Amino acid sequence: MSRKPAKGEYIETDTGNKVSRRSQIIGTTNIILGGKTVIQAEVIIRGDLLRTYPSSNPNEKQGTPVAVAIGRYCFFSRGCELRPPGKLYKGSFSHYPLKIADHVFVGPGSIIEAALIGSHVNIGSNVVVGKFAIIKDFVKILDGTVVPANMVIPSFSIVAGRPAQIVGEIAEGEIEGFDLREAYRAVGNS
Amino acid sequence: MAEFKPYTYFQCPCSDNSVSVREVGGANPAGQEETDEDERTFDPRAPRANYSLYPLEHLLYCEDCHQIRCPRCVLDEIVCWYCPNCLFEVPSSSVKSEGNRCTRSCFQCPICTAPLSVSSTEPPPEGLGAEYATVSGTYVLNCSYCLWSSKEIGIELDKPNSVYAQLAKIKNGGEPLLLPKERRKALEERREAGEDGSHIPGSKEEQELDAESHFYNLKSFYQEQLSDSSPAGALGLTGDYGYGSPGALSRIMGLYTSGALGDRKSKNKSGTMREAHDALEGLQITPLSASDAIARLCTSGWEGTASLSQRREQPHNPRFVSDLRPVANLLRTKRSKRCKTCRHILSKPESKVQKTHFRIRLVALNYIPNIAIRALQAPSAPSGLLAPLKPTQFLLTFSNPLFDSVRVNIATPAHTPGRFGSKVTILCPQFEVGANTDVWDEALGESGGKAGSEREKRRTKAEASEGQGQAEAGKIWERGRNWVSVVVEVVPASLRLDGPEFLKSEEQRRDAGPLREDEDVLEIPVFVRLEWEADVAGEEGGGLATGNKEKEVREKRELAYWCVLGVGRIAQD
Amino acid sequence: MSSLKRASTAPPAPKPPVHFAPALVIADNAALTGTNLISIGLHTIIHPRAKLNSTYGPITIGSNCIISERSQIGFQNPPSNSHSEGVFIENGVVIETGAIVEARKVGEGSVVEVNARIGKGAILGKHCKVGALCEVQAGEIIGDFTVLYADGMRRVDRAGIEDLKLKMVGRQTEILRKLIPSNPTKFQ
Repeated sequence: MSRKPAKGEYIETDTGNKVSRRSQIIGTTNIILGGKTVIQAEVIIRGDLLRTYPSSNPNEKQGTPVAVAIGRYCFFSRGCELRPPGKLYKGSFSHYPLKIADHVFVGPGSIIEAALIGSHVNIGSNVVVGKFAIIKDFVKILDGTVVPANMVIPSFSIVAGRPAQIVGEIAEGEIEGFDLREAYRAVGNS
Repeated sequence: MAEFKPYTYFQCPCSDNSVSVREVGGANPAGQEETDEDERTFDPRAPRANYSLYPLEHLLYCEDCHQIRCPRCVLDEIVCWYCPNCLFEVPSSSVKSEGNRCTRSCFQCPICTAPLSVSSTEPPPEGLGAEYATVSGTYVLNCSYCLWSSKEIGIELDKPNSVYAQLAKIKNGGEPLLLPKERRKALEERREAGEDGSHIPGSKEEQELDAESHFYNLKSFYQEQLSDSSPAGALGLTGDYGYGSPGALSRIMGLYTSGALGDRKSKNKSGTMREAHDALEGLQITPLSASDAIARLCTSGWEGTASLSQRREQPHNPRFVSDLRPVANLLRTKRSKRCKTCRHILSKPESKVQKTHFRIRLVALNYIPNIAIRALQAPSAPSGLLAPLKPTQFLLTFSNPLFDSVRVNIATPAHTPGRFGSKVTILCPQFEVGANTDVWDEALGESGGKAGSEREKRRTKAEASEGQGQAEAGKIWERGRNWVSVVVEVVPASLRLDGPEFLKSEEQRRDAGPLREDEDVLEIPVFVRLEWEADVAGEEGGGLATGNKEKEVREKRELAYWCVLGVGRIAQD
Repeated sequence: MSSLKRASTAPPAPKPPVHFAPALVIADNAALTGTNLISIGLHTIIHPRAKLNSTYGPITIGSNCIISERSQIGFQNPPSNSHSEGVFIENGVVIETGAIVEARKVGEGSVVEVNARIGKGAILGKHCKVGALCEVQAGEIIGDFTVLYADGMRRVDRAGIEDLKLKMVGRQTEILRKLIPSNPTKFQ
């Protein structure tokens, strides 16, 4: 490490996000972080893969186009990647925004190209989520799963395998376990 | 080897008839408890134990019975049906009539079970204004995971929605299937043609029936037979009434009109029913010669045959990959759970599919203390395994979710059951865990009497585990607002199968086989007994006009259950 | 919150001799290391953080290819004798995130999915698809139109829409060209 350890591994923003200095975030202006989110080292977030509007309608809401929108208390472990999915639609290829809700945990080494991830989702390590997958709330994806493209995972499911299949249901008592506030507090600059 | 994570499993008392739970704490039969433990210790390795142990998150709690309920002793009731793919709610009447699969456009690839998407066969429009061009042409289903396309079985669709209905009309190969109405017409036509005597039995056209036509022909045949054979007049019922066999009907009627002569006659009149004769009536003969299948096998090879899991998903059990059809998605349900004994609802989700919160949610996590295990010192062996015959200490942390403080008694047999009994000692078998009051409650001094005496300055856990403080018998390790940790000392057994005879336990002598799977996992059965006093508001409120507070009765409550603590794996020596 | 790269204290990796086509997109953060020649064709996109390592053999990439981030092209460790011809990737190939490609040849229009691994000296036919997390052993020869999926299952794809797919890749490269700032001079 060439930097002095006193500076700490994480940069903390005013909204409480803890971003590692060794993360590789591209296109930061197009990424929205909800607050109290942890981004560990070597995480890649592709904020540069924006939606390319078809040439018509430049008058419509431009503003800052959002590539990746992340909710509160999310946790992105080491080495994972968030990438907006893209597809050929009516003749032109375009990327679509990736929206992630609150309390989402992404395990190390996972690659997420989903379109929408609901709240309280626990994604294991080395998981591949295919393009335009939709993951609803309270889902647990076990390690090493490959979620095929366009798959919809309903709420309260436990999903595993390649291609991913629903292998179980989340019990009523487990929904407190998805809360990531403790994990957020545990991340420190020590 | 995956890292061993310590676990605690709770045994639901529903499966264990021997351990009874006493409702009101009267004379405390401590002596009786001892014998309970000795006689009926819970053996986590018993084959039945597997089905009665659950992690705390899976257990519910019935407030009326004051008992834990496991998934086996609750009744499920369906709140709503929905498709897991399109998240569209299906009314239960539809489910009864159209079956339990999605009837819109949700299909799974028959090869790999990934979801199928509809796409056009035409190439995408190019040039300016491309996004406004309407896409015409036929549509196909394709799988983006294994790149299967419905073109491979010859199915092309006209429109991109209501795929289920379109698929019902096309066979593999593009020929039209028959709708029930058309089938009826076709059946009648065939019958008329057949009565002329011109049909040839065994002709190939007639013999090959797909599953739907087969079912339809058989059903109409048997309906006819019923109406013919069961006499309409004597019973006052036509043969179409229900599907009871004529024999049963006449027998039941005979019970009511017993002794009459007409009764015997009606029995005789029931006559015999014959079986189907040919394909028209629903007879499907399995071809004895498999030469067709073999010829196909020779051309398509091993890759052309369907695997077992692929075949199981298909309704018509095909042999070849080209006979596979897209599988409609099974519907999923939202269920509410009820206690078997008192019919109290324990868990009730919202009936809307999109809403994920629960209307009623009585989980055991909110009623009984959770137990967390952690090794007191980091394990010496680098693999994290427990060294045999070396005393190791573990910290059990009980965290109390109730608003009252709970007295906990824990007990465990001196040796763990099984072939390799490890010695277990609980250093503090009786202690009290504080109430889960909010921090503000404490600060404001409300009912601080309970928590006050036990309020100690909370040390950080890091300090405590640094080897400070020796674990002493009879003393707890550490205490917090609503949690207590105690130390358990374990001497893991040696896993050696050889050795002098007198050192072996009885079980080992009986069963001298090699080490079985998971026999090296150290599991401690612990009997936990909780006692607490709960506030029970007086039931009768009618007479008391004044006063907001009704008479509060402090009721003593008890709960006892077995749990199994999975602590670690013992190293082989 | 900018992506601060820490300065590496190790000696800089050797810059390989390169041969770039003119209309090429190479992200600034891509890593090209090694000693042998790396030649990249027309309209190809190399995402940031892609690693092309030509230490043990030359790398040739065709036109209209997409090499995604964190993918590793080129031998990772010294090859045995029979597998030392380097890596040759034909036109229209898409290599997704995290894939490790050490193959001798990857046929036209093939797709190598996320985190797949292709061993040394393997030969992939045209229009193949190696699914996510799938592995191709060293020296294997995969025929044209083969699809690898699930845990090692294979099948032959007969959908007949290869041209459509090649066109799709072409479109994708056009759009990506606008999104990713290119910096080929850094590597020449």
